[in-house]
Amino acid sequence: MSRFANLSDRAEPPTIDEAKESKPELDGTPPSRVGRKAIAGYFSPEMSLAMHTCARRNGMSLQGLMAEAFDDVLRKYGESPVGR
Amino acid sequence: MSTQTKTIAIVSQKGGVGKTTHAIHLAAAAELQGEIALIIDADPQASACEWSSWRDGAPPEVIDSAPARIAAKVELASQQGASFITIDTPPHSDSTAAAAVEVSDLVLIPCRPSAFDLAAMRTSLRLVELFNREAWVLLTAGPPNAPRICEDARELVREIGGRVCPITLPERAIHRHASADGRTVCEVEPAGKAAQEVSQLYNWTCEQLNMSTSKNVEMLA
Repeated sequence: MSRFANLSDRAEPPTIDEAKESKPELDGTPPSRVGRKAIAGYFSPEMSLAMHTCARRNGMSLQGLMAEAFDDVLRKYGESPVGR
Repeated sequence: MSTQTKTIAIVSQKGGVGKTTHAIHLAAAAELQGEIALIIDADPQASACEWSSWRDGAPPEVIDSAPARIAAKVELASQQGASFITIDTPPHSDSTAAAAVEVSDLVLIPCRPSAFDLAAMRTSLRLVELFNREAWVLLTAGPPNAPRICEDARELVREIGGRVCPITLPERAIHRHASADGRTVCEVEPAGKAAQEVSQLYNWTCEQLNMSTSKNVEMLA
């Protein structure tokens, strides 16, 4: 049994099923976007395909994969991961 | 933090010198001797975490950590019973190495006997000096049948004021095979040379930390 799992930074990424659970609100803003900011970028079709495929293979949403990538890059540059 | 908990930071500005390998093997050797060992993986590449997942979480346990959280995690792990902690750090990251060095009782700087590695090792030594910690250069990945190369490197380290661990860990293929299989060299080939070297390094580390080399023996006595 794990003794130190509570000390890990890593939060479980949301699965595709969890991502599907968020249903739109009446005003048209999905609950998953309330109080959140969009971060977007323009990349090559190869990068887009690679990211979508990677997310799919690991049973994650693209958003979950991006959140993991952002946390990794924060750690790389000595910042604390935000994890959400 | 409990004074019983011993923390070893493994730092080097160079990549591929065996930081993760030694963090894993020292912790595994400690676990084998009855310590409650923990590896804090502060490298974003998360190789130690990956190794742990390959062995289905069998001890020693591995947790990840952002640099800013290393100190808090060592403290909490100590409260939760950890007695032997190794911290694996990434290359090219002064902030992470500094955070690890700051909380450590002993710093190991793995270094291959090559000019580039020896130059990078100077940077790591300077960093450790800033925190006034006990640091030893650990010569790794040299050719197993050419002791002269390591002897020359040893001399060079001494010339710049560094201390060299008397145990050297030469390049051995079994380290790669064991890691890829989520195991340690001691688990794959307990009577092999690599396992002996790991055991010698662990015993030497215990001596530096004034630790008993085997809690199992103490418990039986």
